[in-house]
Amino acid sequence: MLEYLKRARSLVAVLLLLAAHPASTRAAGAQADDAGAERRIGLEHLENGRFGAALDAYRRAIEIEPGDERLYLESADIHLASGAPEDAEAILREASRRFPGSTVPAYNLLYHDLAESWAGTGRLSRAAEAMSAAARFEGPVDPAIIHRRLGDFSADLLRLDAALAAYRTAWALDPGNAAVQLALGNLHLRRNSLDEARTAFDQVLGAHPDSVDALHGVSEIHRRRGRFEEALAAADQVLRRVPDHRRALYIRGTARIRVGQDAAGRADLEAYAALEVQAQADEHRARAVNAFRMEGMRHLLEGRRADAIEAFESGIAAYPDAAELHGARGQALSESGRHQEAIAAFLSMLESGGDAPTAHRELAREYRSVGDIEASDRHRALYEARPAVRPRP
Amino acid sequence: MRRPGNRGFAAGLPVLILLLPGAGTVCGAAAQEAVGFTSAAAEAGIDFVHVNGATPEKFLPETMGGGVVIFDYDGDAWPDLFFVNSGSLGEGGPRDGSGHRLYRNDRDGTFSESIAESGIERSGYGMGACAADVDNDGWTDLFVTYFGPDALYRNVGGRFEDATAAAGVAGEGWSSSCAFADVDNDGDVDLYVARYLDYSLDDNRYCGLLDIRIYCDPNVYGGAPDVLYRNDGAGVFTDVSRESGVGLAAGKGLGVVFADYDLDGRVDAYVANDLVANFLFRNDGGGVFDEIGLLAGVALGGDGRPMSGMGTDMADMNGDGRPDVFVTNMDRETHNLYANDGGGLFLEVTFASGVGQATLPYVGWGTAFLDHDNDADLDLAIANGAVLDNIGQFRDTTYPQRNLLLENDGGGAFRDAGPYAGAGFALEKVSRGLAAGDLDNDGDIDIVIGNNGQSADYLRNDADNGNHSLLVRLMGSESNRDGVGARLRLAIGDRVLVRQVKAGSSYLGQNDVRVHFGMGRRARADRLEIVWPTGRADIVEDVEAGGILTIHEGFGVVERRPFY
Repeated sequence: MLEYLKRARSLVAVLLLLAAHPASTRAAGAQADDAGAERRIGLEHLENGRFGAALDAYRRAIEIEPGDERLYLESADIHLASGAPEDAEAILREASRRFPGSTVPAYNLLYHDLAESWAGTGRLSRAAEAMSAAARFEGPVDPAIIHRRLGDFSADLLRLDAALAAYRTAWALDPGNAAVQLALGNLHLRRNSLDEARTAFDQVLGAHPDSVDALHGVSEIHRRRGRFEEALAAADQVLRRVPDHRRALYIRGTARIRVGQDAAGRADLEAYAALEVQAQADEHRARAVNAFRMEGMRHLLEGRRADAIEAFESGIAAYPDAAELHGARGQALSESGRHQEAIAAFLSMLESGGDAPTAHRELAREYRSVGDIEASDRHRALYEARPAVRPRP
Repeated sequence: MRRPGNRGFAAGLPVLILLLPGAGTVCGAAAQEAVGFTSAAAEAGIDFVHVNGATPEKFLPETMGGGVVIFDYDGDAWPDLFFVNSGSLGEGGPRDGSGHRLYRNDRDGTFSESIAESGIERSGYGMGACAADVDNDGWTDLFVTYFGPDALYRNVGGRFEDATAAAGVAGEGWSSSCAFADVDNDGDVDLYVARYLDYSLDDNRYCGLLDIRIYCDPNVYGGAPDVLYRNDGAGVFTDVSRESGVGLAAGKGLGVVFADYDLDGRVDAYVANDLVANFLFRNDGGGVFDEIGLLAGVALGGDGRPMSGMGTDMADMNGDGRPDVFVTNMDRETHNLYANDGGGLFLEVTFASGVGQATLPYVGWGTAFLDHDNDADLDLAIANGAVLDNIGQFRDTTYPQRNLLLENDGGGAFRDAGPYAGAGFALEKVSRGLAAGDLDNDGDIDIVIGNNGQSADYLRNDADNGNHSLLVRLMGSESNRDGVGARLRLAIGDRVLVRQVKAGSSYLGQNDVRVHFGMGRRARADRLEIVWPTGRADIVEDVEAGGILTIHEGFGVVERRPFY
């Protein structure tokens, strides 16, 4: 369920709303005189990826019909999809104020998504708060998942007792859930409660003997206890399943040296070091590219398009195959009216392996802007041929 | 302010009595431990305020300074203080903020600010410092690291002269911690400079969210190789980074300490790196090093994750005679403690020792092994403070954090003694540098903290539990003048306490170079052995506690002063 929700959110987000509410035939950009029509206009903007215009339409709809709870919830959903959890939270708060005692299941989903959105930006206190709110509503999100995630956030916040309670609730709700037991095991490791951790990992292994995470947990317990033969054996089990598991290589390498297998231990550590170098390089690249992207996005947000383009181009100079920078540059060029250059940028995005539906959608728009209708239609067709997404629960 | 010595009970002082089961019995030490650090900066006249010049651009160096050094610059046998200031990196480029500060010890519990007459005038965005007598002239010289070229100040009779160019140690880029030691055993101290990131102001990236800018994660930038300067004898240095092996790998160095981990008579270097593997440079002789951190088991967290190494220290925390390693890291990682098992291997004992649980919520920086209660084992002091000034936007934690005092039970098991450690350890600030030493020569260890963008703290040790102690000051003759790298073994009954003279450790700073021994209830030690960097050994029999011994290489005890 959670994976589906994550995928849905990342792929098309609120476009899923359209499945339940067909778009109006009325032209986007026009204003309606009743809430339903404004809502349909909003949905049409949404279909074209125009979150701002969609939200404007919803705002007008709410002004016309402030007693329609659905408008608030859909509006919150659009805010979430557009990456504005702060606004989504404000709308949800307003909805709760206006409709106290509401049991609409969508709150469950929206608060859950809000929590994940906060967590995705590192704001864990707010994530925990939102997930607690999600737990107060019955809805489509599995309560065991809600409590497990609450446990995750609490653990990251070092509220270890709260995390333990949340995981135990999740386990009680779904006793066969290996993810919960794994999380419990890791939490016990963090508390250095090695017996409890071992119990949790053993339970996972009872049901899932190939669980790499549980086997790794067991190797870590043995390592901490100084039982290097056992640590070696458990790490070996991990590596039989995932040969490039870095941390298992490290534990096995150090354990081998401890038990006198010096050459084999050194070989493990050398293999670890080589993998670590690559992982560090990947991490460095990802963070550096993201920093360029954020810098440009920040300029864009403040209307400094030339600075944004410069930032994206600096990033591309350093990382020529960074698809996200090509796409962001294309966006900035488009907003600057430089459509031919934007087309080139989106084509580079495609060549670099960027998200194809997004690139095709933007290319369709850009080709239309320069009058190349045939190319625009071709990319539109490619965009519309994107994999179908199941509607939200 | 004059205070009672360490023998009589300090009535009226904010001393809390702490009952620590199993603690303090080594060498017959009292079971009742008095722990009391007074926050005494204002009282002592230490009014330094670090300037970080924080800007909306979130230049990373802004959140990293500043360091503090305890050293005797005027040769009066009373430790003085040097605080490194940063300044501003904002519009107009790097410039001095309000300058470094040098505090002369007035020998009465107070300090006088004396930077104006010191000759230290260099501007720039300072980070840390370390001190040693680079030309063996009897006056302790000072090296200051910068975000930018570093500086060496030669001490000429208690006044400093900028000797950077002549010494050839300016370097470039972003230096952090530094340490002196005689890596080639030739009788003079060499200089290790840890380097952090390949970073420039022009390359300052935007990190965070669209609505919240934060200081960038170090992984946004590449690392920089450290630098080793060989002293050619008269305080003129040669960059031997590559041929020594130190400069072959780019780490992200923030802390460095020298200690002879394998007891082969040659000092080795341990480097705390930020989010990449820490280094252990084994000295293979002649100043040539082999990086063996991964093999030795001190490069990573116990489960194989690179940690956010900041500050570090090495000392024998479990009484087996071998130097162990402590490294401070980020919150949620735990700091790391590695026990030296001998045979070139370390065992990560972070959780087994209690350090893991105690440090999990804290971002650690400066640190020192020290015996705060004179019970003959080494405790841990740790300076804490978050990296992000807007951390509250993300988690329910704050930029300032309380510092930690971890009490050793004598066998290498630690527990948080901070809540019982007096007002000094109740402070919550954005701490970075930490240096330890007996500032008032009363036989117990005081602590000085450098806080980022805030006033400094002086945690005066006002506890008095009746335990005895000894301070040892070394004077090399063939060895370097301060005996940096010398190994001291104090035999007390069936115990042997092993310490080493260090000139640079912690984060961005340096402790008092004199060696402190807590001796518990024993008023005399059977024997003190000093193994100098040259290999020569001096032995002093029947050593009385309660004072400061000065031992001259080859001549034995040349001075004995009672504690003040």
